[in-house]
Amino acid sequence: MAELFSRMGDSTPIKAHIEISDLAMSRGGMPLFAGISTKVLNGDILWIQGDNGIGKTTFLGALAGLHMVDDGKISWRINDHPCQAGQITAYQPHASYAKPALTAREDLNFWASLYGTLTLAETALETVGLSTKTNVPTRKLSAGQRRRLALAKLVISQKPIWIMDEPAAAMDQDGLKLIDDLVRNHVARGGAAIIASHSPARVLSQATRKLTLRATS
Amino acid sequence: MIWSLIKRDLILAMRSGGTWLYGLFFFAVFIALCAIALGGAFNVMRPFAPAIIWLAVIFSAMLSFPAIFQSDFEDGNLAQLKISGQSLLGVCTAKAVSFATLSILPLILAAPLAAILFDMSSVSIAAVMLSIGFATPALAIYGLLAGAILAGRQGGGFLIVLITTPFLIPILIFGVEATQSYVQSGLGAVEFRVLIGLSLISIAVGLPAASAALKANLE
Repeated sequence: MAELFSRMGDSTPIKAHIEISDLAMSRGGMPLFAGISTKVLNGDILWIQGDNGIGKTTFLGALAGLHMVDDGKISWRINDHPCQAGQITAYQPHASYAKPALTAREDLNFWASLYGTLTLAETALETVGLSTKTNVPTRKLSAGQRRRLALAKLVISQKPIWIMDEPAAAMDQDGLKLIDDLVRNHVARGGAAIIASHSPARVLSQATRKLTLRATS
Repeated sequence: MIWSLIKRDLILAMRSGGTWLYGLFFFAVFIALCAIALGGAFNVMRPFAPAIIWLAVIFSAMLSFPAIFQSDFEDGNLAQLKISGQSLLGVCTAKAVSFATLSILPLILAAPLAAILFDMSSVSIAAVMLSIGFATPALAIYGLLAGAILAGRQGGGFLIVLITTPFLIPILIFGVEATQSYVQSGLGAVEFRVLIGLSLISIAVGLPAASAALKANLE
């Protein structure tokens, strides 16, 4: 872990933030939630909580720039200048997006080559505990191991704001600690994380907050 | 990034258990069935041969169109490509190149085998291969456009045929004409210039349209 983050340098050079004002969203014509306003800055951890079907995934997708919003506004900013969502966010969806026929190393290297961080890929695999599985096709990895691979992709993206959808699902005790450590290190060097989770929110930095989504009545 | 995506798609195709060859099988079966239906006499079949090979190419390409974006759309890779800040135009370009390599190139290479079945002259064989080759960008890009428009929609396969048909008609007309005029005028035949023109138009118009359609479907 220490080696991985030291290779990435001391701090993230980008001052990034996401501002959400009076956001309302729906899914398939059904309203989910409304009136969400918050701000995520460097160093923040925001836990998103709420019942099943409340729209946590839709909310995170919107923060990653994948969905249109019904009402309100989400703005992504670098050094207070508006930017595209993809410039500052990395998104770990609930389902694995590893290609089943590629090995863990090939799959990670593909994304690393897009992010221009091929030098980090090998260390990232080691850090998430996949160093013995690098040549195994991802279809033969367990659900937890695929989640670890997705974590490695978050790290190598080098994006300041991580958006994580239920990262703890299918993870063992060791994996839960890994998530906490990665997030803690990321935030310590100036990153931020937005995490949807059913487990109780854990304080991983001084600026840890909780946002509970509630259905529109 | 374009090269990384092409490389990944080629590796995935090689490990897909031969699904990338379905188009080629279909091409071979279609030509064999046409030969049977026409009675098998060389002097009857020879004039129809270029048209039959061209039809086989068009149908085989149509069969492969729906797969261009399907798996990447369903497993979330396209969404990740979009939010990783990659240009969708680059993604479409990479997809067009890998489609041309995996789905059209095998047909061009198999065309001489089909030509033996129809007892075509070596000049006509060259003409067929060249005309398909010059039309490859247009074939790939219009398929890509239809695939991008229908990405993530149920039952898109049938609509892909309807959407691509008007674009493929001029390619078919000039492709078949080009093989006939090649025998007299060689590559200078005006039909070849039209084919190249169609391919250039597809690059200039079809690629940006496909990336716009993909962007709309990813929101």
